[in-house]
Amino acid sequence: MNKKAWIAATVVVIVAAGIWFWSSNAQQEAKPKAEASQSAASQNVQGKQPAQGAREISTATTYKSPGGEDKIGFTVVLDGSGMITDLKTEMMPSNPGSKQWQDAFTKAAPAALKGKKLSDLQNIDKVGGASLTTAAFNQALEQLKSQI
Amino acid sequence: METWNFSGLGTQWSVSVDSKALSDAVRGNILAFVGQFERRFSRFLETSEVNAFRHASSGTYTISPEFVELLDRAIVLRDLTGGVYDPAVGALIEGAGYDAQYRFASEDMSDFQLPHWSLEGNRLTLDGPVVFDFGGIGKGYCIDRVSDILERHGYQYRIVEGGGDMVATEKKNGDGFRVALEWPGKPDTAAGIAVLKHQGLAASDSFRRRWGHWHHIIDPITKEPVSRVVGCVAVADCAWSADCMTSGLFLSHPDRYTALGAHFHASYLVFFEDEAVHVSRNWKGELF
Repeated sequence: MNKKAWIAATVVVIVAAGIWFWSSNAQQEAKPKAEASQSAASQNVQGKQPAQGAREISTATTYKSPGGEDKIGFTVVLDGSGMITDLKTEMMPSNPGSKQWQDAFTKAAPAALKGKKLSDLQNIDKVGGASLTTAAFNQALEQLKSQI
Repeated sequence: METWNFSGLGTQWSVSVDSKALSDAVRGNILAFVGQFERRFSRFLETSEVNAFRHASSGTYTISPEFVELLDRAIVLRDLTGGVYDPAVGALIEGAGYDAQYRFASEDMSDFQLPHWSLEGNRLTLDGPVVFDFGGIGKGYCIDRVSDILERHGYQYRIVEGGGDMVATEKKNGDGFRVALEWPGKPDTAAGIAVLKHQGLAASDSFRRRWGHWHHIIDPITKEPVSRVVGCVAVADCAWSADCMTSGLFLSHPDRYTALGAHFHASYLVFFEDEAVHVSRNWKGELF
């Protein structure tokens, strides 16, 4: 299964996790920035400090791609109202040849997600075009659940 | 609405029905059908019908009724795409690396020639070995058959989805099903919404299965992966027509789109690599 499908699966899961995290903490005071990512291998995540009331969720997942086994890390920053304000992706490709289109995707993702309310996805019965594998989805799901 | 998820044909399926709970019997029938369809028509299974001619000598062979149905449709699509769609392309895809072992290491395929084949009734005539691949049209066919099973068991209000392609009747309250259309290559971004009422939808893109400079939609004439088109969506009377339509759109010059659309009674979107989007005149959905 190729990188983009795995990335897509992980992004969807992170977005979904954001909903749970937000709705489960709706009554409480906004917490300060969450614990560091569970991934031992992740490098320093660049980017601005999240604003007050914001929280971060991070995860890293390994997946099999045509190029071999790869790792990808995600950090999502949610503001106090549950809106995604930043998304940081970390490509950790084992195959340097695939870096080129990985970079293209990394540039696209933040622009696509920034400012989009999670609640915009309501009232939809199905999504056409997505074809996610079960294993990746469940794996990323478990990793994220353990942080919430 | 009740939703049931299962795996089949290498992807995730979901069946949603409105009003009546899904019985064990209908689930069993559906799983059995999808399982046997995969065993019979998967390019990745050695004993499948599509691999039966991998070492064949020239001659005429009898094939099953379902194989005939698929090949008959393939012939229509081959004509409409000027020969660019051809299910005999299996060996080229394997040579490029997308084989049963997922080798993803490509051989030099510059000598590849599409094998000649013809069909008369249920008699298939070959010049030599052929590996058939129904990747472009098989899933839609399978989705429609699953919908037929539900119809026979009395589930009037339903939507059957297999890996992003689907067919729907309507909800019990008369509404259609709202389907968000993924923007090819931009996960979690919707390009628009289509409302399906007694219609099928299919979507195809070249981002999901890539290796080296290849992806899985290969032009057998140029022997290169299609680059001009990066994704498309089609809405038609059923999932099979929509699936055939997306394969046609990927593999045809835009001059052929109108004839394709007329034959399959389809409306469609085509996403080009330069970010342009072609919308058919009869497109009814919302676009963002």
